[in-house]
Parts: sequence; C-alpha cells; structure tokens
Amino acid sequence: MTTYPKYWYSILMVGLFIMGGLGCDTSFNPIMDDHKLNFSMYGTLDLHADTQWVRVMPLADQLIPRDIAESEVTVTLQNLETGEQTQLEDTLRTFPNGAHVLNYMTTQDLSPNTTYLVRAEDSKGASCSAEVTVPSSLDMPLVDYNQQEQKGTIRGVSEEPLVVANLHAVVQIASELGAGPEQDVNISFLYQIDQEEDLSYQFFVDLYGSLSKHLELNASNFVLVNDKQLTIATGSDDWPTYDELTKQEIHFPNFVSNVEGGVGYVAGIARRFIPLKSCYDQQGDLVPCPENRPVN
Amino acid sequence: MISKPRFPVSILDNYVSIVVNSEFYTDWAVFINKHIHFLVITFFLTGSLPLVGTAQDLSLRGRVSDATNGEPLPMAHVTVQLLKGEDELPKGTTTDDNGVFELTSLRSGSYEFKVSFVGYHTHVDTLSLDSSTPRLVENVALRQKDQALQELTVSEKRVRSDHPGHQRIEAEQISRVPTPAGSGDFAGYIQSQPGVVATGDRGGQLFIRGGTPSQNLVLMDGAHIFQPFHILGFFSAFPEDVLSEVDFYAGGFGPRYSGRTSSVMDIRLKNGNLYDPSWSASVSPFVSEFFYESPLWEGQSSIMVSGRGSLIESASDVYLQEQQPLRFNSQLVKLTNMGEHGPCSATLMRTYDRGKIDFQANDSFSWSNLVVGGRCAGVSDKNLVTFAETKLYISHFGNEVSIQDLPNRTSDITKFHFDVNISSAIKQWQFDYGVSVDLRYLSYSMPDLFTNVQANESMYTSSGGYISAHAPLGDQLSLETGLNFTSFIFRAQPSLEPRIRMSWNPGGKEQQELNAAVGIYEQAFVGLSDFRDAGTAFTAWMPTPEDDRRMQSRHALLGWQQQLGKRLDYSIEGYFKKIFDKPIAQWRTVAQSTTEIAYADGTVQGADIRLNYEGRYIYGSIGYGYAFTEMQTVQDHFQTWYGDDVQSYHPAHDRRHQFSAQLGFSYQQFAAHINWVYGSGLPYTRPLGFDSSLIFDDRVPDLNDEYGEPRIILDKPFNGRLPDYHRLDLSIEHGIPLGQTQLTLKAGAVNSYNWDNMFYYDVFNQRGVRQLNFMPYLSVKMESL
Repeated sequence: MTTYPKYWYSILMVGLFIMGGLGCDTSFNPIMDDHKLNFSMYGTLDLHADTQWVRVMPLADQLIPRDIAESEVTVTLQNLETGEQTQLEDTLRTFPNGAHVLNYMTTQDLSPNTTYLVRAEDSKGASCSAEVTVPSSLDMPLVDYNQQEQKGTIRGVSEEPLVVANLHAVVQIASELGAGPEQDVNISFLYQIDQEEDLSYQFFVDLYGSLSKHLELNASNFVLVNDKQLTIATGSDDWPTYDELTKQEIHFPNFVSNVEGGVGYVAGIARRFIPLKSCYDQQGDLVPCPENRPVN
Repeated sequence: MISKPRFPVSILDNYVSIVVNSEFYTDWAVFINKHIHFLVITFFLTGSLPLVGTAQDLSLRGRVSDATNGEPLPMAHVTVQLLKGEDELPKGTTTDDNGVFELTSLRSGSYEFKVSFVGYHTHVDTLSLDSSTPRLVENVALRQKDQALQELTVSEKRVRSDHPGHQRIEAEQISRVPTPAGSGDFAGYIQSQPGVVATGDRGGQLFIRGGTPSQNLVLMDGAHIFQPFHILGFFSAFPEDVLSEVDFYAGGFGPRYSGRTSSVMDIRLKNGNLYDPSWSASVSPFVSEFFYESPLWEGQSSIMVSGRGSLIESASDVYLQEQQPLRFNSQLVKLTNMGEHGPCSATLMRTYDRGKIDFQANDSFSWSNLVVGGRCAGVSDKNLVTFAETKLYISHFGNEVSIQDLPNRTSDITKFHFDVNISSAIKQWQFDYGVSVDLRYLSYSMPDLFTNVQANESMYTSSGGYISAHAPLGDQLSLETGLNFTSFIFRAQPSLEPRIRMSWNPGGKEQQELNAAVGIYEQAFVGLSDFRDAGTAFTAWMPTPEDDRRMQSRHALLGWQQQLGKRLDYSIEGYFKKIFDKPIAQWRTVAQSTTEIAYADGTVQGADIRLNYEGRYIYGSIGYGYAFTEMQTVQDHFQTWYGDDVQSYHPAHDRRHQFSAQLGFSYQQFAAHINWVYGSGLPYTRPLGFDSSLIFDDRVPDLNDEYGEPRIILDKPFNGRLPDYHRLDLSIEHGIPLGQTQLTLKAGAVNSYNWDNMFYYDVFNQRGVRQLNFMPYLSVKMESL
C-alpha cells in the first residue's frame, strides 16, 4: 500500500484554504465615483439675447444619457455686482441620438461689463459654478451685400475684439443627377478680420466661393443654399482660443473650462445675428439692418 | 527625471572607443564603461588560464542521445575507469544541454566507459586511449527501459536548473494541465506558471515578469517564431506530442539569446522515431489534431508531421450560448537525419489565426507564421571545439486587423537568420561562443493608428555574436560571464550587452542552490500595440522609432532552490528589472484609438515561489507570483492635463498577485488533472463619467440644437483595477487498449464553477468583456501503441 508523507496533506489543505479564501469580492464599479467633478455645465450669457441658456448635467454613467431623472438641480444666475439672483427653469431636450439633456433658461436681462455667477447645486449639496463676465454692447454692422452675386462686405465698430464671425448655412450639394441631403455648414471669417486701432472691423463674404471651397466642390457639382445666417460676437476675456491646442487638449476636461467643481464652459458674449442683405435709410444711405435673431 | 540611455555616435564606427572616451556618456554608457574593464579582464583570465598545459592531455568526448529519436540527453552520467589501475579513482562528468560530455586529463590505457541516465539502460563499453587519438569521440545512443520501469523512475528524472529565471519544462509536465483537446499544450502550461500573465483567454498575448509579448523571444529548434500562441488561449503551435523540452527563461538569460528584453522560450521539438512509426489523432469540440512519426531509413533518418485545426467556431454554435468567432490551425513537418557526429534537421512550421477578441466589437484580427529552417549539430574532434551547431532559417510573421469602415492595419516582418555556435570545454571550463547574421524585412501600414509611423517598408541587416565563459570557482561556486554584441550595418547603433550569472551550492550539496544573474538586454526591433485596450491582438513590428532611444532592460535576479527528500522541492526567486525607452501609445481622452508614440521607462520587481510534490502516482504543485510594475512616461500634454510632465502608472498587465495550483494523479490507464489559477485584478483606465463636450471654436454652440461630442472623462490611465480572476479547469481520462492501438477518452471542463471572469472593460461602450464561461468537453484520441 502506498503511503504519502504527512506534509503533503498539510500542503493540500493550505492550498484549498487559499483557493476558497481568494477572489470572493465580486463588486465592481467601473465608474470612479469619489472625485470632485460634479456637473457638466455649458452655455452662454448673451448680452443681446432675450433668453439665456445653460446646460447642466450630472456626469453621466453612460456615454449617451438616454434616461434622465427629474431634475433635482437648482441653477441660479447671480449678478456679482448687485447680488441679484435669479433661478433658471429646467427644460428637457431630446436629441436624435436618443440623448436626453437638461437645458436651463432665464429671461433675465443682462448688463454689459458685468460679472455673473452661474451656479448649480443638487439636493445633496454637490455643486459647481462658473464666473462669467458679459462684454460691452455690440452694434449691428453695415452690410453692403450684392444679392445676385451673394457677395458683400461687413463693416462695423466693436469696443472689444470679435471672437465669432460665423456663417451658418443649410445646403444641399447638387449635380445633374439631383440634390443630396441637407447639411449644416459653418464657415468662420475670423481669419479675415484685422481690427483697426479705431476699433473698426471689416470682412468680405463670398457665399458661394466660401461654400465651394469648404465643401470641396468640383466642376460637376453645385450647391443649393436653403438657409443662411451670419453671426458675429465679442466675448469676455476668458474666451477660449483653440488655435494652438491639439485635438487631445481640446477635450481635456480641465483645459477649456471655467467651471469650478465640474467640467464645461460658460461664455459671456455679445452676439448679433446679421441678415445677409443691404439696408438703406430714406436718403438711400447704407444703414445697419435690423437684427434677424432666431426665436428659440 | 527619466534618464535616457544613449550611445555616442562614434560607437557606430568603433565601439571600442567606449573604453577610451568615458566623459562622453550618460549613465548607461558609463555603466558599460565601468564594467567592460572587468568583463574584458574576466574573459581573458577565464579564457587564458585553462588553455595552459591542456594540449598534450588525452580526452574523451561525445554526445549522449536517445536511441529512438536521436534527441540529446542532458545530465546523463558519464564515467571512465582505468582497467589496469583499479586503485585509481574513476573519472566522471555529466552531459550538458546538448547531451555533450568531455573528460580530459586522461592517461593512455584501456578504460571501462559507462553512460547512465534515469529511465534508460546503462551503456557499458571498453575504450582504449592512446596518443594517436588524443581526442577520442564516442557518441552513445541509450535505449529506454520499458514503460513499467519508467514509471518507477520518472519522479527522479527532474532536471535541476542552475540558472536564475530558468525552468526546464518537459512534455510530461505539459500534459498535466487540463486542456480541452486530446493532448496537452505548451500555452496552457506556461500560463499556469508564476510570473506569466495572460490578460485573458483570447488573443494569445503573454506578459512575463512585467514584459510585453513582443519582448518575448520564442525559438523553435533555434528558429525564431514571432507569435506561436493561438487566438484561443489554451493553444499554441506546440502540442505536447511534438515537444521534447522547453527552456523557459523568465529573465536573466545568457548572452546566447539576443534581441529581446523580457523572456526566452527555447522550444526543442521532438525528432521523429528512428525505428518505429507511430501516430495519433484526436478530436474535441475545440480542436482536432493529428500526429505522425516514422523512420525514413531505419536508425538513420525520420519524419515527424503534426497538424491541428480549430473546431470551436462551429462547435460553439451547437452547444454554447455564445458563438466563438475564433479560428486557427497549424502544421509542422520535421525531418531528422542522424549523422556520424550528430543530427541534422529541417523544420517547416505554418500557423494561422483569425477571430475577434471582443465578440461584439467590429475589430477582427488575423495573423500567420511561416518558419522554414535547418539545424546541424555535432561533436568535434578538434582541439578547442567540443560541440558545434549551425542554423539557417527564414521566419515570416504577418498580422492584420480589420475594423468596420476603416482601412485595414497590417504589419509584416520577415527574418533571415544564419548562425554558428561553438562550445569548448577545457578541463572544468566551458566556453560558448557564436556569430550570427540577420536580414529583416519589415513593412507596416497603419492608416489610423500611430500618426507618426503610418506606413513604411524597410530592410535591416545585422551581424553579431556572443561569448560566454562558464567557470567553476571551487566545488561550490560557479560563474558564467558573457557578452552579446550586435552591429546594425549602416543603420542603427550597435549594442553591447554584458551578462553575468552565478550559482552557489552551500556545502557542495546539489540539493540546494543559490543563484543570481545580472545583465543588460537591448531590443532594436519593437512590436507596438496599444495595450491600454486589452482587446487588441495587433502588433506592428518596426525598428525603434528613434534610433538613439533603443528599448533596454536591465535584469537582476536572486534565487534559492532546494530539494527536500526525493519528492518535494521548492524555489524562491526575486527579480528586479529596469526598463528604458519602451515605445507606448500616447494617452488620449477622446473615444478613438488614433494616437502617437511616446516612450516609457519603468521598473518591475517581484518574486516567484514554487512548491512541487512528485509522488509515484500523485503530483501537486503550488506557485505564487508577486509583481509590481510601474512605468513612467513624459508626454507633451501632461502639463496641461495633470499639471505635471511625468506620469507614473501601472500598465494593463500589472497583475500584483498570481496563484496557481495543480493537482493530479496518474495510475495505469487512468489520469486526472486539476488546475486552479487566481490572479488579482488587472489595471484599466477608469472613467470618472461621461458628458457631451461643446466646442467654442470660432462659433457659439446652440444648446437647443446641438448635443455635442460624447466624451469620456477619464481618470489617470490605469488607475482602476478589474475584478480578480480565477478559474478551475479539470479533466479525467481513461485509456483503453485496442490491439495495437489505444483509445483515450477524456472528459473535462473549463471554468468548472462558472466564475464570471472579466477579460477587460470597454470604457467606450461601458461593458465588461467576459472570458469563457463553464464549458464542458469530451475528447477522443486514438494512437498507436
């Protein structure tokens, strides 16, 4: 009969003990929850807008938040010079990708050259805030625009540098075979603007030329413009410049951000929506057109 | 501050200038510079002393092999005793890894010549030595004892290691790890060893003591094979049937091996049987395989053919809940011819793998190997050449990943290699040296992966060599010093890699040994993978992106091993590695893999403990591995991201604790095996949460019309840990003799208690990718007796 050393059984027992004792912790939370980033906050305080919009979302536990609970977040706007405080109302917005977000709004008038505090706080006391300075007023520019050629010059005066000169168009690329689907195009004219010492600025818009270049059209294609909108804006001093940022840096949570206790950016702007047409007074002199601000 | 080892450009012209111009170097070169004097002196001392007065002595040398297949028998005992002088003590030695022995300082006369090895019949002969043949060559082929006698002796056959980091693995050990196939597999065995981490049961990626898969050197009869591990982690190109033995070096390997910085798996294939044909064929739900060996000319030459192909893709449709889109196959042919002085062999190996690591993802991987080569070896009667070996082979590896809607990434490497290796034994001293020439052709295309190395084709020629001296210092201590050097013609800077190993047997007892090793290892051709995502199996082979930042590793090992009686032994080994200039993927935060190359330095420290019991019918072993891998990388954007240029991290394979236990028995036609492995959780990059990022880039986003770009807010890379991993595999088998054949039925199960093991966590899709669940199987094997 075969006999085995006694220590063999000891080894076996120790092995079984270890096997039984290890690996019993089955809890696994893939998302880190002990951090200090409470909310994602994006928005603008636009001096010339009737309504201010700020998106405030808790950091989601999924890439596309498809389910959203009733908001327990209070978002306030406080004028830091007067102390006046307003609570924003929440609105639920659903996007085609199934994402749900909460945008907060107020019709409170803003004052130029004034700093505001946008603050969000939930029922558990978690909060984030952004200090935003609203720039001075921006006058409507003069537009000398040829409707036939869809070309023209935009001239104006601004106390502060322009941060936005954007043409937004809804277009279709077409050929002899027909037209393609509608697409949104944004073209910036900022690179053309060289603001003078007397604070005047000027830039030239060539609608079809810009679109052809942007869409890289060839000789057999042409573009149908279904809608177009030119916007210009001045921004507060902390307006982000992306020119020297890599794509990585643009997406760093703490890099392009003025939100304390969260991620995101709230901008102070003075924005104008400019119709692409020329307007004249009764004497036939070129004058600024009335603003063509879209209604939200 | 991360140190950056650099060679001066002048080395390209004349690396001897290292010794002369010491002010020019950074710490790495200074290290070499300081120690090269010692190394050179050591070589000259150890090399020249034994040469004195040896030329006139008579000597007997030869090769001891297995008579059935010609394979060398290391550690065989060889003794001679003068017949007419019985008062004179017998002289003895043991054979080395090539089965070669040499006895020197013999007098003229007739000797009784005896060669013995456990499990084999002892060879006894009478030899006459005289001055007409001062170096007599006597090769011996030992015949195995019959099966019953072998069972009694097999437990005593274990070959001790005298190198730190080294483990010799025999086919019998491989058969003990339950494998869902008719025979065992090297892949299953190696993953049960402490210090070896597989991130999952798919992909065939092995991380050894902190090194990545492309830092492992896998040799098949001396020919380099780049990726022999199949996409299904249980299998490699090396089933038990084709293996003779494997020398596995987890670190601290000698100067004979070059071009890799982590580990070496030196796999020696069986030779075909020189006298009797035999065959086997098996099938399981995972794989089917066949094996055939036969003499071509009896006693002179043989052929061995082996092949296997996966079945899991079709079988999983039938009996598993989830289809396994994995396919692989491999074919091997080996011809052997026994020459007068030793064997020559020619080998052809082909492998193919294709499949998905994450079954729900769009990435589909494929790779293939083709190795063709030949090797000749033999004992020489020349004065300073005891044993000589030469190899010539071509090895090709190609791999590809296809991703939906994106162009395929591809990478190919072809290597032509020729080398000559020589061993000289002079008295108690052994010298090994050799030269090699390599030609590599590399091509890769990665249109969306590494933006600074997108596509290229290039050819590199290199030549190099090594020398090592193994010197006993008294009865208890032995020292092996060596140097490997490689020159890259017209391309990169040369490398110079000194290595030292020692062993000490306290009290002169062979049952206990302390051993140590230090060495420098360089790797001029790197395999780039983005291991932040464990779901990858694509490796882009290329020369080091920047020539003056060649990947380097320094190893230091200290180990103790002891035999406790006849059946029990244990070993403890600590190791420390310092890694420089390892190319890695640059870190990003956006949900795409497009990236650039960065470099990382780091350290790996740990310890492996093994305890083995080898009974007559029962065996058991326990292994524990502790590892701490920490890397540091400097990347341009860290200052803005983290407020610090340097970031430390634990890479995705940094498994802190690993425990394994094997238990089994084998009695007559019955055998049962259990293998349990446990690994602590692997690092992964943990998200803090998700949001939609709105960009104020020359325009004001409209919150009511724009959702923004979905963004992952990531913690520092690899700051989280996946859940622990553990799995119990078991098998039981019974052999049924049927005349001249045997039918072996095997039943077993993978992941027997159905533990939910996470392969990796896909942060982009917020889901854990799982390894195999409980999977029972039955295999049938027919083989000749």
